[in-house]
This record gives sequence, structure tokens and C-alpha cells, in this order.
Amino acid sequence: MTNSIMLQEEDVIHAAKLAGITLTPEFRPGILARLQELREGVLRFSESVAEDAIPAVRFSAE
Amino acid sequence: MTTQTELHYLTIAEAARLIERKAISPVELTQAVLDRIEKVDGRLKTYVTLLATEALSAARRAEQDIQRGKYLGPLHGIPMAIKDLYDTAGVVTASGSKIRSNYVPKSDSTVVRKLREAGAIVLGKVTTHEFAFGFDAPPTRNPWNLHCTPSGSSGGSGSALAAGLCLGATGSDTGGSIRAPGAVNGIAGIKPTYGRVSKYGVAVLSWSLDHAGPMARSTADLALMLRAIAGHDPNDPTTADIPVPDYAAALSGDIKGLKIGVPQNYFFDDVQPAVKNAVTAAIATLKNLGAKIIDVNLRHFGDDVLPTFFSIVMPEAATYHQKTFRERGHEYGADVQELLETGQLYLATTYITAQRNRSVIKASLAAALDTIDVLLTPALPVTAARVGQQNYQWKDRQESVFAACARFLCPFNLAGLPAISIPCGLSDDQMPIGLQLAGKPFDEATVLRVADAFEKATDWHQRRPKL
Repeated sequence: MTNSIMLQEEDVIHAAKLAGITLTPEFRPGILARLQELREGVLRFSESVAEDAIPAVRFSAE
Repeated sequence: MTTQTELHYLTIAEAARLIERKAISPVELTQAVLDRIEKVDGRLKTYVTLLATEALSAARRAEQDIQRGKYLGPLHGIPMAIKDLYDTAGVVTASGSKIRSNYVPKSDSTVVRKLREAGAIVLGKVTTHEFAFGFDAPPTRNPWNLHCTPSGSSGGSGSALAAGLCLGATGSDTGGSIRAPGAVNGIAGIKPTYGRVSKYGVAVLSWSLDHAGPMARSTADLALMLRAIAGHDPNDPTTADIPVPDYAAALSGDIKGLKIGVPQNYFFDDVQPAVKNAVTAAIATLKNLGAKIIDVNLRHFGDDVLPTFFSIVMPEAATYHQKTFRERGHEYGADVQELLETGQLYLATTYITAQRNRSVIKASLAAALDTIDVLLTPALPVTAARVGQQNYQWKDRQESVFAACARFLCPFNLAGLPAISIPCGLSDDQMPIGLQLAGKPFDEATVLRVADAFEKATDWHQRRPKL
């Protein structure tokens, strides 16, 4: 399960470098925890999504 | 006979009737609300910019027009507050941020323009969480308990309405920012269908989740405001070119035979007892009015709805702010700065997976609404947070204030469906509780009809805080 791989602080520092920003040091633990939790949640949800589901492209439920 | 001290708590519909028959003048009404602001806003801190002189000038023009027989309709001469996220020509629109403290738009947002064209009086700008990214609106307090927040991000609008500091207000709602302050301040607010109301000139939080909408002290008032501000706007490509009905005409009070779905999963998990009791009583009231109450099971609703929501709003917000954040990141508030830093680190695949999950949530709600007319839930699982409170405590877990506020509200942003919050009770410590009703796309009329029928049968929307 790729979504169970735990992020480390150096991972978010590296990701910030890729994004071209510098992280505020005191925010790093919160960012790390939030990214980990949300990625896991999104991927867990996606396991129940049908293979042929497409991303939402119209945002009202017509 | 209406006394001066009562004028500030008139509903729009009540004031409009008095103005139309010239029993009160827009000047008298505007002055009464300004007096109320003078009296209590020092404690509540809802207005960031008060336009007293301009409002009184506009009220005098309205008075003259009405005297000359040029009555524009039910918003003519009605004093309103504008969330500071909405552009107002010639007036600072800071979006609650140092970043835009000197931003003075040259023109009005479409909603403000339409309100002015309908004759509304702009009293001033009220607080928002910085760029609408949070469920609070510092430094504003909740008039029901000054130690509590008014929630947010449209907290200035919610608090001002509850305290009688305006008769109507604008709000915006990305994950619940109209309905959460509606619920905790004991007032009404509707997030219309995505595409129903123009967002042109309203600062962006998340392009695909943002909604603009009205807030007021009754559903009937929301109907009047929504009629004025809804409709296609060439300046906002997300708006739909669909006729706008006369929402007030839909408020028949008759809901006999209407099917109201009550979810049996997700929406009653981890709910404070007072909230559960109030919503249960509301269901009984609606049943007594002749509605059919139908149990509904929502597929795919579980703990991972919230991560899906956050995984859309954060990268979209980070993208909107990307350029400014790189140049002036340190000028954002600490909480927003941290959220924007997080949003910058999202993988595109995570964002797109969240949008894929979203299509499943939309389909789940659409399937439920195939068999019912509206869905009923608590607006929030909780009453207002205390200032500085970070979490709510449940039996076996803690939940952040942010998550608790978004949990029941954000699904309808993800699905783009119309959803309203109206008062349905008070907790033991006299804090307001909100009832949420959500409907089919572009069927705000049915949502408003059910909410109005509930208000006609109860008096929760008429309760006022002791200030």
C-alpha cells in the first residue's frame, strides 16, 4: 500500500524545494501531519471508487 | 406601532412593507441601525469599514425616489452589510488580510451592484476570516456569548444580523462559511447552487467550491435577496443561464406530501446531544406539517469525505495565492500561511484523485435526491466554539474546530447543491443550533419553502441574544 508510506520531515522540505518555496520551520510538523492524513484519506476513499469514474468537471450537480 | 428601538430588528420583509406604505422612511431605518451599531459594535467588532455618511445619503435618495413613486421593490431602502471579501467601488476591500489592506476596487462585485440596483443601502463592510480560509472572523464575537466566536468565514455577517446591525448581509461559502455562522448566530443563510449567483468581484478561496449567497434573519428575507442577486453574469463563466424564479412566491407554507430525507449514516455521527435533540424535534415539526420523513442511506459517505474536501480547497487556494505568497508570504496570518504552504506541496495526482472522489459524492447525493425533495441534517454537530478553542472533544477522539464546522456542510459544496441553515433550537447554555436543508440543483425554491414552513411553525428565528 503506497498510501501507508510515512512522510518524514525531509520529504516535505524536498517537496517544498520542488514547489519553489521555503517552509516556515515551525509549520513543518503540522504540514507533515496534515499531508499524511489527507493523502491517506483521499487514497482510502478512492479505493471504493469505480474504475470508470472520472474527476468532477462540472461543479453543480446537474 | 414600531418603536425606534425595534427598527433594527425588523426583517427585510417587515421593513419593506413599512417603507412601501411610507410608514417608515429609509433614512429613519438606516439611522436606527447606525444607532444600534454605535451602541453595541464596540463589543462585537463586526464592521471593519462603516460607511455611515454614504449610507445616509443613499437612504435620503431612496426616500426621495419612493416619495416620487419610484419604489424599486422589497430591497429599496434596506440597510445591508457586505462581507469584506466582496469588491465595493471606492471602498477598501481587504478580505481580512494585510495583503489587501490598501486594495480599493474601482467597481462593485456583481452581487453588490445588483443589491444597489434593487435599492439596498450599503452600511459598510463586515469581517471575514483572512481570505475566507477559516471558521472564525477575528476579532468579531458571537452576540449570544461574547466569549464565543461567530464562526466564519462570514462571521461578521452572522454576528451583525443576530445583533441587529443590518437587515441583510452577503456571505460566501466554500465549505460552510455561510451556513456555519448562520447556525451559531441563530440566523438564516443559504448557499445557492453552484452557478446560481455570480462570484465576480469576490475574492477567491477555491474556484470549484466557492459560492456567493445571502444571509438574513428569516427565510423569507433570503428569498427576497436571492431573487435580486441570482442569475447569469457574463463576467462569471461559472454562472448558469437559467431563469431565476420568484422565490418569495414559493413560500406557501404548504409542505404536505413533500419528501424529506433524513440520512441514517454520517450526518448524525459525533453530534452534541443538544444538537441531536433540536434536530429530532425539527423533524417532528416538519412531519406534523404533513411532510413525509424518509430514511436515507448515503453511499460512500464516511470519514474520508473531509480529506477529499480539504484536498481540493488547499491546492486551489495555494494556486490562487501562489504569486503573492512567494513575494509576501510572511504578511499572511500564521494559520493561513500554514494552510497555503501545505497547499503548495500537494501532488497533482492527489488533487485529481480528490476530484474523482468528488464525482462519487455528487452521484451519491444525486441518487438520494432522486427519491426525495430535500435532505435534512444538522448544520453543525456543535454549538459555537469559544475564542481560542482548537478542538471539540468526542467520546473517543478530538476533532478540530475546522473539521467539525466543515463535516456536515462541505458535502454540499462538493456537490454544488443548494443548502440552507436556519435556527432550530438553543442549547442549555442558550447557544443557537442550526438545521440544514439541501435540495436538487437549482431548486432553491423547494429548500426555501420547507425552511419557511418550519419558521412559520416555530419561533427559533425570532429569538434574539441579550446584549
